[in-house]
Amino acid sequence: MSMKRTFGLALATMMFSTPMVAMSETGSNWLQLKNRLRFEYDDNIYERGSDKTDSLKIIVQPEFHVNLGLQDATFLGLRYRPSFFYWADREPDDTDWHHDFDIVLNHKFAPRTTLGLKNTLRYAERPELVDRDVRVQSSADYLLNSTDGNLEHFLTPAVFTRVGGRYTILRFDDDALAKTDDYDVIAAGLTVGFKPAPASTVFADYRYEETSYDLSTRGSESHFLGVGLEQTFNPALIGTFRAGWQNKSFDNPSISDADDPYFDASVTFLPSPRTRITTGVGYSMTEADVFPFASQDRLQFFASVSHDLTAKIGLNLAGAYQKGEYKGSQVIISEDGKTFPDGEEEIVQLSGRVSYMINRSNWIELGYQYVDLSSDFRENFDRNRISVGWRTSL
Amino acid sequence: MMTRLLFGAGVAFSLLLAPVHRVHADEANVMTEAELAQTLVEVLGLSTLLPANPSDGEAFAILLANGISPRDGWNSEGVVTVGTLSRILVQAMGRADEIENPDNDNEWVALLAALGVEFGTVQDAIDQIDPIAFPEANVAIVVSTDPLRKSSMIGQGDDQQLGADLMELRRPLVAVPVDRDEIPEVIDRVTRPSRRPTPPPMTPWWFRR
Repeated sequence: MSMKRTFGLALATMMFSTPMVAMSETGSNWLQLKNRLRFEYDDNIYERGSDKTDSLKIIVQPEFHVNLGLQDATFLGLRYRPSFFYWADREPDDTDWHHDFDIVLNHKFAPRTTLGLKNTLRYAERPELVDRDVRVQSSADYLLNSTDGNLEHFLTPAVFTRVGGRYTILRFDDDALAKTDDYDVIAAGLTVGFKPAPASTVFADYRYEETSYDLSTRGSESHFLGVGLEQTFNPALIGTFRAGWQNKSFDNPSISDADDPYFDASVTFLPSPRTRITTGVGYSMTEADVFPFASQDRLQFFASVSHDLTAKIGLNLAGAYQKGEYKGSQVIISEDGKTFPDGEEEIVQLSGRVSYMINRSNWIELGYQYVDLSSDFRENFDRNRISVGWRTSL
Repeated sequence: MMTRLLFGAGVAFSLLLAPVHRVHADEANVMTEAELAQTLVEVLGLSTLLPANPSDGEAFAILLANGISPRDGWNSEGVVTVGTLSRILVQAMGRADEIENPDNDNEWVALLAALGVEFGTVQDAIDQIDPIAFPEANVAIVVSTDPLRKSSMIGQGDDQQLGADLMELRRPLVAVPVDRDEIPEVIDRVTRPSRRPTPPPMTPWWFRR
């Protein structure tokens, strides 16, 4: 079945099922309709280091939300967001459609036993693009689907266990790209937690992850063993920390097993009632973004700030940094004894937005985004985007 | 109108002195703040921004990031009171800036009464909460290393991050000049005579020159 047909089937199922479940909803305010319209100037639409091409864009993102409480013990949430992009100066294809569709199902079997299921579906168009007779982007339409779920049970008011699983697939339309980058990821895990105090939760967890590509020699298998803490430090500061050890083995027999620590931490805090800050850092071995590598050591950092300048004017800032380190010893091909050098890729992203609330249903906004990529594997570039937009929620 | 206001204020004040009943009654027949947070995440439309069955900490964090928190912060074992519930309702409605003295629970209750919001139980209150119009969350830049929670290898552009947008940049790339159609043969070439590679669909910059 083709991806478009699969996606159409999923949408048709949603369209059909929504009215059916809506009939059984018990709460009010179960349906939410939103839209974002933006006019954007993009100074580097092909992400080139030189000879940049700029363009004006129109972006329309309607969003449909359904939140249903069913018989008190069950919750069903649906979210569908199509995104339409029109590019004034992009050849030969001047439009893109993206689709996001999420389903969340939570059920409480008993006061101490809960089940959660979530499905995330993404379908994106990335057409082949040609700039001045040079192909700058190959066709890379894709479908990504991730299903995850877990069952949590409190053995006592302070001790709980959680068993979870996740299945993710990535499928590209283009056969050649699919051969190297289509993958299936299966993950499973067990967590045992304890609440020594109302503000603290400590836990130990084990995770298993298997990544399989169509190209069998790119796959890998990982075991994670670690501990973590969720802590409310004070009314305005909440943090989560995880750390442990990861063992990764590769399907390609020429690549040695790898052992490495992993960690992540994030905190949310409110320095004042008008300011909200979230920041975090994470490091682990993970799937490679760059072919023919089988793995990367990835470090990530982010920070976000929201500040209410006045009751009607809000300022939002976000920044992210990602560094991927690639080892020449972890490539899956080798040509006549040729060795690959180690390399790395760094991505810096900054974003800001000022929004003005016209009334409780309408906002206008001014946004700016900056991206800088520095890579040993592809052309370095930076990109600036400025937009004005209108948001509405019904 | 005045009768309605007085009735609302009276009900709210009488309930202020005692914990209210929880939505899903358990052994203690009260609702804890952890249970309230989990319910709010669903009602406010935040659940699609979190992993399945989010932990209490994840629920607390996203609520705090959207400016929703009890006076003394989220306490998983704290019992929900009318004061807490009123505060949460007002914050979820985006009207917290209309409160002059945030530490005074009565002000939150009075504002709700002035707005004509009446409730006798937690369920009554929750039924009157609208989803947040544009919630703030870190979707594209989640740094979790947990295989059950980490972000996918590839993603759409322009996800909203605490109000600002960020574009996912992770995408498949080719680092060496090989044709994906010939990959199996390239792998075999470790032991075979090499062949001249042809341009890949996603041509690296040095190959385009």
